[in-house]
Amino acid sequence: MPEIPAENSSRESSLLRILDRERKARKMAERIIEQRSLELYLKNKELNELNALLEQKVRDRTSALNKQQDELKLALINAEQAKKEKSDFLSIMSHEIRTPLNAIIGFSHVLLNENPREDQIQPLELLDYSSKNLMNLVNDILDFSKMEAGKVELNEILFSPSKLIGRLAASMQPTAAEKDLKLDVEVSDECPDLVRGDYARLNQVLINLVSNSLKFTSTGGIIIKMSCEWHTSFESCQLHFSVADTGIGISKERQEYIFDIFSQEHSDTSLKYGGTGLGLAICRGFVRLMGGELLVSSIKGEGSNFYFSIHLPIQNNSSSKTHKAEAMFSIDTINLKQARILLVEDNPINQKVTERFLSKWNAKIAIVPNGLEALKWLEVNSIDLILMDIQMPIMDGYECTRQIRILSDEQKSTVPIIAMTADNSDETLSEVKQSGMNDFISKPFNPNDFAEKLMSHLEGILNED
Amino acid sequence: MKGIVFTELLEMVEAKFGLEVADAIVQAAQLESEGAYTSVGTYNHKEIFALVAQLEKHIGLNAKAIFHVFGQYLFQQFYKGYPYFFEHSTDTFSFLERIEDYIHVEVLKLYKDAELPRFDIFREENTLRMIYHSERRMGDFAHGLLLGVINHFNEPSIQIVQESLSDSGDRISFTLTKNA
Repeated sequence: MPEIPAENSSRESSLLRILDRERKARKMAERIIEQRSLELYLKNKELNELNALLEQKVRDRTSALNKQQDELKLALINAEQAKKEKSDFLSIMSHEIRTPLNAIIGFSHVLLNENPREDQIQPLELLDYSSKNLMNLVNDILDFSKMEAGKVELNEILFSPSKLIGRLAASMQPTAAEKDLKLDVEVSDECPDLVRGDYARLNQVLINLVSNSLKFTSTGGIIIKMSCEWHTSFESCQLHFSVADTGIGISKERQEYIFDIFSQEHSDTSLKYGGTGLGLAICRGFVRLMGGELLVSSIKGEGSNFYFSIHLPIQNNSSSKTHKAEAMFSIDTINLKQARILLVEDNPINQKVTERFLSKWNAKIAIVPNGLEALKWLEVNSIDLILMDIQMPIMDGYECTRQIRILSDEQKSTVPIIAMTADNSDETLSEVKQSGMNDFISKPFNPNDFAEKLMSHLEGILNED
Repeated sequence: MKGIVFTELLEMVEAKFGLEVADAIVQAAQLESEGAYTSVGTYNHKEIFALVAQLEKHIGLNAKAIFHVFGQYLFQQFYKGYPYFFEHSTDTFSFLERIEDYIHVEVLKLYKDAELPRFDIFREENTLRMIYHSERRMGDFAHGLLLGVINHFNEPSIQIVQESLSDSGDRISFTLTKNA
């Protein structure tokens, strides 16, 4: 260090020391900054790497989700396709099975009613009984499949609930009598005369419950009850139905799943008592569709009570037509008084069956094999009623009906046309209505229903005396 | 202890008593760091005591008084350097209540190696009691900072009563009372 004058040296030394310290402090600060810069750089790098990783994860996740979504879409399409196939299958099966069944039932019925030989009676009765059983079985299966596919929609017709129960009980009396069981009906006074609802399905449910009761009861009897609560508007009511028996009863555990199908108990019961085990499941399904819930209360060894309630609109003004149709009920007294009926049907067996009934009932019949022939026939002939099959070659029932409805001859264009359908799906019934037909009868047809419809549509002619 | 305390002390001494006094006390204190402080560095807290002891000799003011003055000075510097810590406080008590769970928390986020005292805080309407805990035993310095807060919020009516809770000085009670 250079020589410094003594007077200044103290202050200069001070300053030099301060300078020295400042430099040291600065360098220290610089080192700290360098270190912090490095730390920052490394942290940034780490952050960028994490970010890239995260973005990749998001991409992977998105692509997986998209893939999953595509798979789900495909699964949905497949499910819809399967549903449609099932529905188509049901329709086809319906038609294919019912056509020959119609013949079996029809002809066995006919043979039974045409003075068979003594030794033929029992075999024919068994044939009749078996064919009806077969029909019930097939109907059960088809009903159940339809319910599973969500394809059941309720029909709505006017009917008398007390008459429904009365007829039901009457038809089951013979079976009860055979087993020495009582079969009673209790209908409370305030039940309405006429309601609007699905007669056929309500009937089916009750018949099922009653026949189950008869099956599982060996002593005592069955009571069918119906009571009612009117809605304050007087426009609808709550109908309560119950079928109670003194049979073998159902244990608490079994009550949990008697309405289900495919249970172990069911197979055992089916083996012991017969039946497909579908009955209660179908009943439950139908009651639910009607807005109620089929329930059971039962004590093993003492008996069971199946009950449900449904809400139905009431029809206050009854039409004379309904009454009249009910009055003309007995099938043996049917007389169509030579009314002219054109049968449009391609299947020869169905032709024969229908013709047998119609001639028994004193109708004048003409038969053509398809819609085109029907139109040709109508050019030169008059007719009182047409029975129109739907599925026919060359021209089907819908098209033929449409053509008839635009004929210039008013008597011919307004002739009553009853469709003969293989199924009663809503699509079919809707088309029947739209094409211009007045009514329908589904094959295999119940002779009683058939007669009733014929008479109702020929009313004008039958009343001309 | 963070360098800022040392750099501010020396700057205060330089400003009030001159460069040479500052230099002299650094020389005399025989510091391991040689007194080459940068505010962003970290140094042994004992050096503060060494420097204040030398300052006592030079200016004839006891350590306690020096710390009180320095505390107030440092607090002003804190305000200038870190104004965002003051954003949500409107008075002494509301500021001091947040020392533990806000201010010191944020300081530690910025400076991981900061050595800070711990406070237990009890607030009543007109009283704030703060129990000071620190191994570095800088109660007088803390008192100084408290005076700095009172000054900053211009509430001269607040009195501080300091009580030792331990012989070693590592636990002290500060009771602040607002007078009408």
